Amino acid sequence: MSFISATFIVFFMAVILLYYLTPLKYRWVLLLIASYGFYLSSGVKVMLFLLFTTAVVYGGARWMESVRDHAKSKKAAKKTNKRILLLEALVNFGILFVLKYYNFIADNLNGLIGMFKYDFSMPLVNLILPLGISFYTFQAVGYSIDVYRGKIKAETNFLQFALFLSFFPQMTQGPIFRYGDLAPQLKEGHKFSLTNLKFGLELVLWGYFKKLVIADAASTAVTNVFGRYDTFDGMQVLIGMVLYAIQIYADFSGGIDMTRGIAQAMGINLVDNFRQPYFGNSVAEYWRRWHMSMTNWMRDYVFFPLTFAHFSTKIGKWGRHHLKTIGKQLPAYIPTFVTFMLIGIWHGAGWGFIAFGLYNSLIIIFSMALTPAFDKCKSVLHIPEEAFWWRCFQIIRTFAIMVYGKTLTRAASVHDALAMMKATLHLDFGMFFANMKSELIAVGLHGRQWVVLTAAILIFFTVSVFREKGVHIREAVSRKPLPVRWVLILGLLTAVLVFGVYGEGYSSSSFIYRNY
Amino acid sequence: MKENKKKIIISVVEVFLFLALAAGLVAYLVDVFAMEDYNHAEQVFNGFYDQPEDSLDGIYIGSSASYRYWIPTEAYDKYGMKIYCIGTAAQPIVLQKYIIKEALKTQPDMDVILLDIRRTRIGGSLGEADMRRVTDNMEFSDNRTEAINAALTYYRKSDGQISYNKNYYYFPFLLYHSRWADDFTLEDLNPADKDAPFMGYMFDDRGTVSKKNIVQPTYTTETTALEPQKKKALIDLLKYCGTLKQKVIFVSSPYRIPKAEQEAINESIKIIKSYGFDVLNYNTDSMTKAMNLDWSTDFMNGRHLNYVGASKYTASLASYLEKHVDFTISKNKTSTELWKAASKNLKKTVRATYKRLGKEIPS
Repeated sequence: MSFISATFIVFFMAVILLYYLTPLKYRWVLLLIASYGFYLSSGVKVMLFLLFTTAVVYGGARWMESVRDHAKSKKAAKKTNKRILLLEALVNFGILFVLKYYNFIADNLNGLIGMFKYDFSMPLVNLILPLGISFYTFQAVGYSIDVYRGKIKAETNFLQFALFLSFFPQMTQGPIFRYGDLAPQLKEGHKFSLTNLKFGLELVLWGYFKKLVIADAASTAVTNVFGRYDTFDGMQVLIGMVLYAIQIYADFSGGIDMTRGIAQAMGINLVDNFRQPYFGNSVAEYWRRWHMSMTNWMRDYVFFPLTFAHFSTKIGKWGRHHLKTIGKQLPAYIPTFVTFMLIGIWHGAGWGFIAFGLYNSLIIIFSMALTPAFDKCKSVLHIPEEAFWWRCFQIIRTFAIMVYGKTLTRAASVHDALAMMKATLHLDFGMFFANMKSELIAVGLHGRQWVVLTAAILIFFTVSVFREKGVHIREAVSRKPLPVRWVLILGLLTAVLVFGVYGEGYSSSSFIYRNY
Repeated sequence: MKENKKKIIISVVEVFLFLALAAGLVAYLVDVFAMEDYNHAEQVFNGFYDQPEDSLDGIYIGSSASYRYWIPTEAYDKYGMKIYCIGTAAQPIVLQKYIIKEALKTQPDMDVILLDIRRTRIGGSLGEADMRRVTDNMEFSDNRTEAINAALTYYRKSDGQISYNKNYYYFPFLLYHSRWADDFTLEDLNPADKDAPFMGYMFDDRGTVSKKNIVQPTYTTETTALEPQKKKALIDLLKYCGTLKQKVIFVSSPYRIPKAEQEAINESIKIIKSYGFDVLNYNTDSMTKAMNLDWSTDFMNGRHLNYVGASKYTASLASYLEKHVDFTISKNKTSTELWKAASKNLKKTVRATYKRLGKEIPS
């Protein structure tokens, strides 16, 4: 059941209505039924994977707790629990790995074996990829790690745990929640609040605006440019690449807004997954603002453990002794590299995603290594760190880096991505501006479509600026006089209904991050 | 406590007002972003729905072979009969049953139903727009849903190259909202005043054209088999008509009929008569002479009469109806002013159009 379907809109409206009609005590049961009903709509077979993960992680966590309660010593308990955790993680990541990466690995290995002319090939198989598997697997393993670390108690109610892993608004594209943030809210029955309902539905509408009016409109041009980049000039390729960066942000954050909005309408407050990522002034800062639930997961369960691992300490000592300045940073390089490679791979099976991970990790490592040199340059050139123009420069520079980086994940191959990047080195501004209308139309959108898309992006940008300044948009709107509020909301509704890309001929109903 | 109660009441009122406003907005958008139809189908349906309940003596259903032929206001002026024309371009036969059902909802005591049979001919387009001109403009109801389902089944079996996603027929807005990027103009923002001005008759500049080189065809009595789906739809329609209390008359209006088409229409007539219905076939020597049809002046093109020809056709058909239909059931008189105004409007428009085009005004 796609978020972009009348069926889903009727479904979530019905769930919200039934939620408030159900006695407080049993509201979580309704959510569980709705969530499994939603998941079932994507197939019975895929539901078995979810049930299996739920059972394994639930059982594993209970087992760890039991070991902790009955062990002779803390050390012995930790040792046993570590094994349980590893087994659990192996099983869950194993399923994810096989379903998502097997064919990619087999295909590449076959190519490699073929080079040596051995008569052997790994079979390629048609595997199903359960909806949201990357998201619920990470959420499940995160929960297990937290139980292992003793940060949370293992859930005793299997059904309530099943709800934590299957809460329907987040099944399509996350976010990845921590047990402590989500489960208590799901269990608790929330009293009806008109403010929550209004704010929630406003957020859903805003999500649809971003998805249908911006992302899916940009998608036409993006598909065109990435599909046959060799027929476009440098400026057109660059426009396609920039539009893709906007598309993926509007698409993903739009979906997350819908998720958060539906939850908020039922009184469940979910933290945001984005904090204006394209306003980040460095690549590292960008990643602190983009898909925060995933990057935080990586930080807490991959980066920190690696950074504070015994071997990192050893490397650090050696580095400080032998390499002076860089040596101090050395313990951070390996975790950074591993983390970003994992982030790249998490996004999908393909060399483009691996290249994307490598691209980000190398940029961050180099920028860390070159920080002293940069600081020296800034000092010599008297660049004031807080100056507006300098901050703008940093933001544009970071955005440009991400535009190029994201091209690796969207192009058909790394070769194509590099060819596109190369094309943008030859920008003929004179020719472009002299024939701007035909150049833009050739990209794949007509005159009116460009006007509407540009206006929608400007609205999105303006809202982002306000949010960056700390303005809570919906609270601010709610303080406006009634006619202003209604004009804004009905205007947004009109924009979605009229300018939204849906209906006959529309096929991109799934979200980009649904495939990750 | 009192303050709290007041707050709740205000909130509830606010929510209902907002929902009403949103519903109004959506209804307006649905109206604005409808199919751009240059063949006045939307106006025809709007005009029909605007007829006071139980006020019509009959309806005339069909393709352009009806709305370019039957001038309801002239039949009204001369005989007082109010027979509204629900004609839409290339109207598929399969939908005619549902148009009758729709009409009977508000006009259950009509005396006569006229059905044009030109679409039973061989070949002819099977376009999505032909279907949409009817289904998009019908009011939301079970009948409309049934009409859509029946038409899609008919099209599918006839290998019609159209979209078969029912949602786009149930909710045409899903398809047409994207018109903003193409042919949408500021004028479209004002969807008001879209009633058919002449009770379903279509008069425009083309109605004044007098095509000179139209020659009378050679008529034949031979027959040929109908296309299976058309035959099935016709028989289904006949069976349905057999259940009605109204007098149902099938009509084949005159045009420069090719031989193959006439053979198919002759076959249709044979089938219709076998079910006991009357057929008025104007594609014969005797009928064209009886209506005083002038092949050198009365056609705008080979397939349609101009205004002068339509007047003759209307006079002939109305005279027949006067003699053969029992118009005795008393009707709601509140529509009289509406019909008088439409008649006056047509006369005025005809005069103005001929004058504007520098042509001689027909007497």
